[in-house]
Amino acid sequence: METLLSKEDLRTALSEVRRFARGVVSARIEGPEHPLPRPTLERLLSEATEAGFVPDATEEATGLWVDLDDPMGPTLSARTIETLAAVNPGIAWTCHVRAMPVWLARRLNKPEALEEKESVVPLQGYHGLGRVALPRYLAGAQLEGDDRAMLRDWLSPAQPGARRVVHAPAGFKAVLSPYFDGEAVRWIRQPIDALDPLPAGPTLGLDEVDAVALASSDAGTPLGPDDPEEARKIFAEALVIQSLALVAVGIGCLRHAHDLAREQARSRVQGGQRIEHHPAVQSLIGSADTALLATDALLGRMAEGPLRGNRIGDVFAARAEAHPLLCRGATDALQVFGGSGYMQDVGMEKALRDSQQLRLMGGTPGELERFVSEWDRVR
Amino acid sequence: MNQQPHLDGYLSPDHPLSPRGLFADLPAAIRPMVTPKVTTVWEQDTATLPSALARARKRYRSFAEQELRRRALPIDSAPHLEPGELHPSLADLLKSAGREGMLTDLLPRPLGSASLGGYRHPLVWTQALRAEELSRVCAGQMLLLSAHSLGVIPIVFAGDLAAMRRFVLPAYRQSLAGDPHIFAFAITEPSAGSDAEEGHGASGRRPGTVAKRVNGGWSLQGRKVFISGGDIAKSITVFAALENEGIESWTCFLVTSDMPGFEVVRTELKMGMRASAAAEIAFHDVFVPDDHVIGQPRQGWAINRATLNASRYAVAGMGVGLAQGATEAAIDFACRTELAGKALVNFQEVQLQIADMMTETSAIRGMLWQAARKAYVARQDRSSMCKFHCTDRAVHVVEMALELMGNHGTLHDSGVEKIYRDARLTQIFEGTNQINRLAVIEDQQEQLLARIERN
Ligand SMILES: Cc1cc2nc3c(=O)[nH]c(=O)nc-3n(C[C@H](O)[C@H](O)[C@H](O)COP(=O)(O)OP(=O)(O)OC[C@H]3O[C@@H](n4cnc5c(N)ncnc54)[C@H](O)[C@@H]3O)c2cc1C
Repeated sequence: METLLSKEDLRTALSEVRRFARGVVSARIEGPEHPLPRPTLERLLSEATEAGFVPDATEEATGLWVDLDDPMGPTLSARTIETLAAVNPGIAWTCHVRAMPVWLARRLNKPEALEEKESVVPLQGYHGLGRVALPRYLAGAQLEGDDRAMLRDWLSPAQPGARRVVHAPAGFKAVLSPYFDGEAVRWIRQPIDALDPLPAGPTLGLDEVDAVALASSDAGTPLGPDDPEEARKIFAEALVIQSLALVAVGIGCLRHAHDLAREQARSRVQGGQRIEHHPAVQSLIGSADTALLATDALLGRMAEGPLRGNRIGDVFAARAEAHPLLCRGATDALQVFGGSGYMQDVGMEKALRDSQQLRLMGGTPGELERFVSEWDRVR
Repeated sequence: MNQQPHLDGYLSPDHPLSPRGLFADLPAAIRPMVTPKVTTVWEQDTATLPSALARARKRYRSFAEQELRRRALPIDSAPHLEPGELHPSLADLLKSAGREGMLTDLLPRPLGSASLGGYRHPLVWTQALRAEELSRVCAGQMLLLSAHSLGVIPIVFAGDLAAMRRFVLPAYRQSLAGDPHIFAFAITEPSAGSDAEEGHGASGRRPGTVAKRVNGGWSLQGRKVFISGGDIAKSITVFAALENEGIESWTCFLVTSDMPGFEVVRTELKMGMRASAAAEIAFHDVFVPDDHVIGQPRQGWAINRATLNASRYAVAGMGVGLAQGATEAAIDFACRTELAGKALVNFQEVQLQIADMMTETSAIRGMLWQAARKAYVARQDRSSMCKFHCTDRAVHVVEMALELMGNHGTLHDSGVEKIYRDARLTQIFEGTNQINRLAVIEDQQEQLLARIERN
């Protein structure tokens, strides 16, 4: 597809997002210790939709994950999420969660998938990343031994009590689930009641977002696609998009933590001088600085467009590298605050919890590395 | 379900090539040297302790399992209370802890509840074992109990028998009778955190809490922040400078919460260790009589540093306990979670992670026990080394546990996300881990200076 977005367009679009994030979103946040009340979150989402950052079900909708055939498209979406996350990671993640069903319905060419306005796309398998079965499947390699059982169980766990967890604001009405049918990962639209949703309680981070545990069920409307090759591509693309979102939220979060730490180091006096002059503190801020620089470059690489599922090896490798860096940066930024970093009203502990949570969602660094190794071997 | 005969990738224990039966045919004199009993790491480690400490360790574990376990998650997610309010379940915990002698075990019987046998070994070792076992189950409740001991230590280190008789013994008697009398330790001020923990920063610092001489005693003015248990303590060892002097004039005062002018300003909303409140306390011309000075005027800095040198071993113990708790939670998860019909523990990558966690935890326990075993004198370099290294590695172990559990680790019910939030504090308090590194160097200064001269 032809390039529609220029670098200049990208800059302009992101400065609008920045204005929205700093003007509209920040104004609604009472403090890091007060997760946004649900109605406020919903209002913000409507405003983000009206502003064109989060797509709705209409044909002409714009926003996250819409222009992914454009070489700049993935970058625009990822940087939009990053910009929102620098103000509030939970809101940024929620915008992504709202945009995913729109992307999927368009990609599957099934507008009816969006019949229920509020649906989610759970890409979190039961545990891990389907071990070696997933890279083999996505690379189009021969599935061996337990691979089929692994993929089936990973996406639709059958053992009693096993549930997949979705990190999304509760109250969604339908789920667009991937499932493995023995041949390919296809999609099914499931009414939420068929999945017996249970609140999974508070989570380590992303306070604005709920955790909902879903049972497995076959009930629902199949969404295809019929072509197994197409199915493979679409699932890989979905995982790439999720990876971009997770890393983008993490970078926004670290950017915020880094700026707060820099500010604190400039004003706090201990050991006879402003603490920014102590090498111990310089190392901490330097660690956040280098983590930002490195992850920014990794995200740039991950988001090179147009979106292609066969880049999943590179994208997972970059994600495996990015999350430990983001967590290191966040914990070191917190340390600059000493005891006050541990207090919720300062915002640093939230940034650290959010970073850790992002590391654990959608495959951990270790799982991503093992994916990459097998992907590399079988391709 | 039948027990699996062996883990994937291993021989079953009764296979001729397995280490279990392997040594049976070796000569009788050699066999005992190469055939260990099948025991848990906990049993192996406990067996290396002197008998009094082994008994203490078992007692701490059983207290933690009986009293802390059931409260750990509910208290962590309970709503934040107003300053001075205590969750009823924690009030009950304190009563039981009092009756069980867990609030009085700094001193040996008949003064306190520690066994005389245990007292033959360094106090910091016992306290580190205690911190480990309690933190393994719930570090928040551990802090509620341990911050109290921290508040008493300055009185012990002041060597002030009169103060012990007047303040500690009656409080201990009360606690043993089931009416807990809690102490707290207050050095940190809004403008002096690290400066209250290390001499170089302290030397130039204008003190924020000041004691002015008045008839019959002292009038205290100022604020202390982040004081663990400062909201419920009846007695607080407060460090204040004398009027118009620097921190070198620090004096330790025993302030009681019923003294006019004492105020609990607020308690913080914390990341973790939520069973223990961190309080901001204010002194509005609080009159403290002369007989409430602990030790002598101007001995405060020395008492403070001696207290920190001792208590940092206990913080290292917290790290070991938190790492142990996370490791056990991850192992439990790996054994009960199935994927494609197999328990996760069958997968080699999971086994590697478990082995790393067990080994890291063993390594920091070994470091701490080795240092504490001979710590009749609590050395600054050793206690700081243990504090920063054990807590840094502990956080790493907890991160590994989260990684093993993946997305499930993010859920409150997993218990490990709480352990992570709790563990993060151990890198900050009792001196940040940066300040503790500097404390190692400070204690090695003479040797380092000598080498410069020699060069
Ligand atoms: C939950 C909690 C409970 C606590 N309980 C108690 C308690 O019961 N009693 C009590 O008195 N205190 C307590 N504290 C206070 C605690 O000991 C201090 O927070 C800690 O010593 C750090 O001081 P600070 O917070 O002022 O950080 P700061 O001193 O402001 O440190 C900020 C950063 O600067 C660095 N820094 C500071 N000085 C230097 C230097 N000279 N060289 C190099 N780097 C430096 C630090 O390492 C840190 O990274 C508690 C704190 C917390 C969070």
